Amino acid sequence: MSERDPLQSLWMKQKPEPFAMSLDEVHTRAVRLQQRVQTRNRGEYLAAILVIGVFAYTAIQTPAPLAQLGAVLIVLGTIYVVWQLHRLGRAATKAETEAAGASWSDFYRAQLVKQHAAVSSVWSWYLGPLVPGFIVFVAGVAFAPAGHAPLFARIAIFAVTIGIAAAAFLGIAALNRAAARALQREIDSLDALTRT
Amino acid sequence: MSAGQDERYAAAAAEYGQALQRLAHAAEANPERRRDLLQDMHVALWRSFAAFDGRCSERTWVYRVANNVAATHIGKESRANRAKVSLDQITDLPAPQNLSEAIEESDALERLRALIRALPAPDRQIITLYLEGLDAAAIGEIVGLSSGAIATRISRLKSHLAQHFQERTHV
Repeated sequence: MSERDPLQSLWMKQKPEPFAMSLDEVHTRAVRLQQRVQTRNRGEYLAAILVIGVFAYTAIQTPAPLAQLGAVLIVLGTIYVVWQLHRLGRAATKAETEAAGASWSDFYRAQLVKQHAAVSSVWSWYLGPLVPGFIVFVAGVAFAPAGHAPLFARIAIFAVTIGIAAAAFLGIAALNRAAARALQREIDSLDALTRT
Repeated sequence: MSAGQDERYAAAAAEYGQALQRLAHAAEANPERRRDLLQDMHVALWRSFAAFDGRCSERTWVYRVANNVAATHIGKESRANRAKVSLDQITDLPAPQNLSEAIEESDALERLRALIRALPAPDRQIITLYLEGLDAAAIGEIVGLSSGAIATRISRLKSHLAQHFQERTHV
């Protein structure tokens, strides 16, 4: 039998710290972790309910038909986003449980791919569904029939509001593209590593 | 939740509890966060046994689960701290020296853990599993790399650690 590496001997000499976790404590912590996720989800749902409530009320109250249409589109867009959040959240929880006992490379790759998919598709499921409603709503408010501002001022209000929102959306898109590229590089280097 | 899952977890926790502690120690220096990490490892292990299908040995499964929890923890904790020592940056690879002097030092173990924590994944996992006494094939099964690649990295990592121990003892 070969002599043990001195570093291995040193490693195995470690004295365990006092630690005890009963089965009940394991169950309790598992439930608590699950509740933490549910609380976070609840926060997202509450924010969505608030947005839906405000724009549903606006759709009922506003006399401008275009603004009404915009508000309805925002409500529909928000419902779609919440449904996607719910769907992706469920899929992530299931995948997390299944991946727990996977090898590190498979586990890590799955995490990277999940993050890549999230940042790559943010337009299609998070920002995109809100854009039509937002544009129509701003147009509805800027060009409301009851407004007294001159047409030039209305166009300016519409253009500036949409311009600011477009800059913010494009900024988010650029950050997500950069994040997606960085994640893809990590995935590629992991694939190269596992091929060796 | 099933009785089988509870029983399997209890048996694994009894058998590998100390190994989980060593893995947690290699991943987290802060005692409070280490305790949290260790608890997360136990919870993940218990949960994982609901999906354990026997396609790998229980030992491999336990180490995989613990390593994946540790990797997630490190990823969260150190996203802002990217100053890791890449194995590819290790250019000088001396033959391992007699480490008995270093072992005699009271801080040798803490230094070893600090060196391991400074390594990037998967080197950190590979050397930790090597120190746990697993061979290259078993480590390969846990980490997901070929045993040849693991053996090469172990050799380089041992040299890296030996070099640092030697440097410190000659200061």
